[in-house]
Amino acid sequence: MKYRHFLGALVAVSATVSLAAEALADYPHSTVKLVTHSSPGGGTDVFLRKLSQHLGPIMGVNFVVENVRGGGGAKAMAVLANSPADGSIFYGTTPSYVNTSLLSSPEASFTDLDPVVNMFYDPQVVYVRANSPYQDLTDVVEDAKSRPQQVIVAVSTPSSLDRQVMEQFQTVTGTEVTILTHDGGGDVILNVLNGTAQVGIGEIAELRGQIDAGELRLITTYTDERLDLFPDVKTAKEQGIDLVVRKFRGLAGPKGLPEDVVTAWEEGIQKLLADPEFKAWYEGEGVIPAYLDQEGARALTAEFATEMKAFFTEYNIQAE
Amino acid sequence: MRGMLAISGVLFALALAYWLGADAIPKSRLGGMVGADGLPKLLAVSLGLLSAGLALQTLLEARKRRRPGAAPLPASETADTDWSGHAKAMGVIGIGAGFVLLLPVLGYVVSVMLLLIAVTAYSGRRPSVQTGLFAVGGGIFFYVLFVHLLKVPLPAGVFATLFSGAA
Amino acid sequence: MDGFIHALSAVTSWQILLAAGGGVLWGILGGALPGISPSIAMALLLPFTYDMSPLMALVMLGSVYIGAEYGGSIPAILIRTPGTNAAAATVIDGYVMHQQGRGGEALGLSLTGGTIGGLFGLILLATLTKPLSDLALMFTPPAYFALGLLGLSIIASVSEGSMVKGLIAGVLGLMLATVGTDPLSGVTRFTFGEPELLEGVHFILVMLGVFAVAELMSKLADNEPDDLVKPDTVSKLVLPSLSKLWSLRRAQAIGCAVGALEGPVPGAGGTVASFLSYNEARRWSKTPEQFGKGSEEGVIAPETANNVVTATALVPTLSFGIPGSNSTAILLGGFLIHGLQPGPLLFSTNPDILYGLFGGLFVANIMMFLIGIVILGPAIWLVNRPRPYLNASILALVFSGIYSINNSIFDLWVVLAAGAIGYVLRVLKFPALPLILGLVLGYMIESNYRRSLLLTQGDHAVFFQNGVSAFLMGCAIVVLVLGAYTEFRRFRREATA
Repeated sequence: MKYRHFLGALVAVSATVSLAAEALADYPHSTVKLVTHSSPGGGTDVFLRKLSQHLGPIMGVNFVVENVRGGGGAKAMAVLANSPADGSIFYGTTPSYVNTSLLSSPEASFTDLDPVVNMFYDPQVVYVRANSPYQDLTDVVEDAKSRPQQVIVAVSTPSSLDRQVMEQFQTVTGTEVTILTHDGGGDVILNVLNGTAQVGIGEIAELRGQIDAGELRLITTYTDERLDLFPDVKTAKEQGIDLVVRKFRGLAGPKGLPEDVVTAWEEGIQKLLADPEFKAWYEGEGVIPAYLDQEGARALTAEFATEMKAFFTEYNIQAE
Repeated sequence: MRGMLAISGVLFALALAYWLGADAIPKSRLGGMVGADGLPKLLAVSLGLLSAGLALQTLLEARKRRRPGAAPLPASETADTDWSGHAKAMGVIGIGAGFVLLLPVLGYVVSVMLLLIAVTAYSGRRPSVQTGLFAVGGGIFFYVLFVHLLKVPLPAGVFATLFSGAA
Repeated sequence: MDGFIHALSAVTSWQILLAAGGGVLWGILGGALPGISPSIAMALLLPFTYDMSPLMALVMLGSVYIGAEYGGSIPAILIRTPGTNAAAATVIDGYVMHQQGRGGEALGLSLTGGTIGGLFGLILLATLTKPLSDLALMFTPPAYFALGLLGLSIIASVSEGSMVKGLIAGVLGLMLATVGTDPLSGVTRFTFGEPELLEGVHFILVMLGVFAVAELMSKLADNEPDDLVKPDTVSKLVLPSLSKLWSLRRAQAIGCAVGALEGPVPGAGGTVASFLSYNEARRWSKTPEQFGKGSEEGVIAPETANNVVTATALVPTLSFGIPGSNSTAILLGGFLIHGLQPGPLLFSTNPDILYGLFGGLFVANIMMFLIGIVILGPAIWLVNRPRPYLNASILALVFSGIYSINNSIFDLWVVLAAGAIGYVLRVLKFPALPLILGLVLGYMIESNYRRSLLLTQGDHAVFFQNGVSAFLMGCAIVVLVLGAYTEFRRFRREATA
C-alpha cells in the first residue's frame, strides 16, 4: 500500500540469447535496453516485458528490461539523458515522468528526453460498489448537487491524473465533492469496497478481479469512445461532461536519435500493434491502442505537460 | 549538566528552524482541513516545549543532587565527557565519507578494499600482509556477491573505463 | 477437503520442493544482507520464474518472502544490524543476548519462533481467508490513524526513566517522516529541491545508521583492546527445548495474535506487528524488567509475529488482488505474469494453484527451520572473528547493502548522517527506538488523520465513533496512562529515596 518509502532500485536483467537475432541485423544494435522506473511486476514493467517478447522477433533485436527505480522516475530520466543517442536505450513513458519533472528539480527532466512513439492510452474509469444507487456519472452529479461535499470520491496519489480530472469535474459540472487521495490504486479499491468512498477512479487492469466477481461496477469511462471490453458503460462525453483523460504509454529516448532508428521504431511498433498475439494480450488488459509517430508523441507530451503545469499552478502545487 | 542545557538550546533552535521551514511550505487548496503545514507546525511546537522541559528537568535534577547526602553522580552519567573516545567514534564517519567520495572515482572493488583495510587499521590492527590479504579477498567477495550475484550496478570507476578503452 | 488434496499433490512434486527449498535459502541470504529487503530478494528471482509452471513460480516467490523475513533477524541478533525492517524490534533483546554470550540461544529462539509463526499463519490463511479479508476491509482512515497512534504509544514504554528524552526522539522521528511529498495536497516539504527526497527518507537507512553504524562507533570509542574476542560462551546454535518453548508460550501466543490481526491490514505490515507484539509481550510478561536486558520473550515475540505476517499478509493480495506491501506486490506480479488474476474468484477458478501454494509454503517453513540449523553455526563462527575484521566487514556490508536499495550515493550520505546522529543520541542517553517508531509511523498517522477529517468535514468525533478506531485508541490511551504512571512512580521513589 505504501510504496512511498520503497525505492528499491535494482536491475532485473532477463537473460537473453543473442544468436538468433544477429541474422536480421537491420537495426544498428543487437541488444537494446528498455528502462522503466516501475518495479519488477509493476504496470510499466510487465508492459515492457511483453513488448520485448513480441517486438524482439519483429525488429530483430534482443530487448533487456532494466528497472531504475527512485525519485518518481528522476533516476531513470537521468540515466537516459546521460546515455548515447544511438538507439541502444529507451525509456517506457507514463505521465509520471512529466509530473516528477514539474514537481521537483530533477537532474534531468522530461524535456531532456525525446518521445519516439506513443502506443496506448490507459482508460480512466469511474466505478462504484455493486450495490451502489449510481448507474452513471449523471447520477453522481445530481447527488453531488443536492448534497454538496457529501459525495466522497476516492482517487489515487495527490499528483495523479485521477485527482486532476476530478478537480476539473467539479469545475465542469459546477458541483462540490470531497476528493480523497490515497497512496495508490489498491487503497482506492479498498475504500470503495468498504464504503468509505462512494465513487472510485482507477484503471481497468487493477479492477478486473473485482469487476469479474461482481463486487465493483463500472459506471463511466473518461475516454473518447466506449471500451470494447465494456460496451455498455457510457463515456463521460456521452453524458455531456466533456472530460477525456489520455494516460499515455509510449517510449522516449535520449535527444538527437538518428532518423533511421526512429523510423525503425515507428515501423516496428505499428507491426507489433497488429500482431495477433500481442493484440490478444493488450485487449485483455483493457488498454486502448493509440499509435502516434514521433511528431504525434512529441505534441502529445507537450500538450500534456502544459495542462499539468496549469493544474499545478492553479492549486499551488509546486517544488520548493 | 551544562551539556544537557546546551542540547536543549540546540533542540529549541531546531524547533524554530523547522517552524520556519513549515511556514514556507506552499499553501495549496488541496491540502484539506489541516494543510501540509499542520503536522509540521504541531511538531515544531512540541519540540520547542519538550526542549524547555528537558532544560527544566536537568536543572531540577542538578538541584536535587546538590542537596547534602545526595548520591554522587553514577559513573555512566559522566561518560559523556570522554572527548577522545567521541573523536575516535566520529572517525568512523570520516572513513565512511572518504569511501563515499572515492566510490564513484575508484569504483566499487578498489573502494571496498580501501575501506576494509582502513577500518581494520582504525580498529587497532596494524596494516600487514594478513590485513592486506583480508582486504583484497574481502573486496573480491563483496564484488562477486553484490555485483554478480545480486546484480547491483555499483560504480565501476575510472579503472573500468581504462580497461574498456584498452580492449 | 479438496484444498487439502491440492496441497498434498503439490508438496509431493519434486519441482515444488525444489522451488520451496531454493526460494527459502535465497530469501534467508537476502534477508540477512542489510538493504536487500524481502521485496528486492523476490524481484531478483522474478525473471527466472517466467518460464516455470505458475505454481512453481508462486511457491518460489512466496518461499523467498518467508525466508527473507526470517533472515533479517540473523544480523539483528549478531551484529545489531537489522537485515529487514521488521527485524528492528529483534535488535533490542537479541543483540543484548549475543553480548551476554547467548547469541546461539537467541538465534535458536528466533528460528523456532519464526517457524511456528509461519506455520500458524499458513493454517489461518488456508482456513480463515474470508474473515481475515473482512478484517482488512474494516480498516478505514480513522482506524489506520488509531493504529498508528497505538504504535507510537510504545514510545512511552521503551523510554521509561527518560520520558522527556524519549518524546523528543519520537518527535524528531516524526519530523523526518514529514520530508517528501505531502500525502494530501501533493506539495513537497523539506526536500530542498532534491528529487531523492521526493519519496521521503527511507527508514531502513535511518535504522542501519542508528543501530549498526552507531554501534560500531561506540565500540571504537570504548576502545576495546584489540584481539580481545569475547567468545560466545556457547558458540553454536542452541535450539530451545520443548519445556523452554512452553515457558515462553505467552510471548508466542501474543506474537501469533498480533501477527494474525496485523498481517491482513494492507500497509501495516511486519514492522508494526513486531513492535506491537514486543510491547505486548513485555506488558504481559512475568519478568518485564528483563526486557532490554536480554529477554528471551523479547526475541521470540516479535519473531513469531513477523513470520505470522508472511502468511496473513497474503490475504488482501489473494482475496482482493491488492498488495499490502512491496513484497506482496511482487507476488501479485508473479500471478499476473502467469495470467492469473487474484481476487474473489481465484478460490473457485484456480483452487489447485491456491491450495498448492499453501502446501508449498508450508513445506517452505519447515525447510527454513532445517536450513537455519545448517547455516546458523557458521554465522556464529563468522561474528566471533577478531574485532577489527568484523568491524571492517560490517561497514562494507552496510554500505554495499544501502547502495543496492536505490543505487544511490545520496543514500550513503543519509546513512552516515544517521550514524552520527545515532551516536550523539546514544552518548546523550536518548533512546533510539522512538526515533525509528516516529519515522515508521508518521506518514500513516498524518495522512489518515487528514483523510478522516476530510471525510467528516473536520469532526473529530469520528475517531471514537468508528469501532476499530475507538478500540485501538482505547488501547493507546491505556498504554500512555500506564507509561505515565510508571514514570510518576519512579519520580516519587527517587524523591523519597
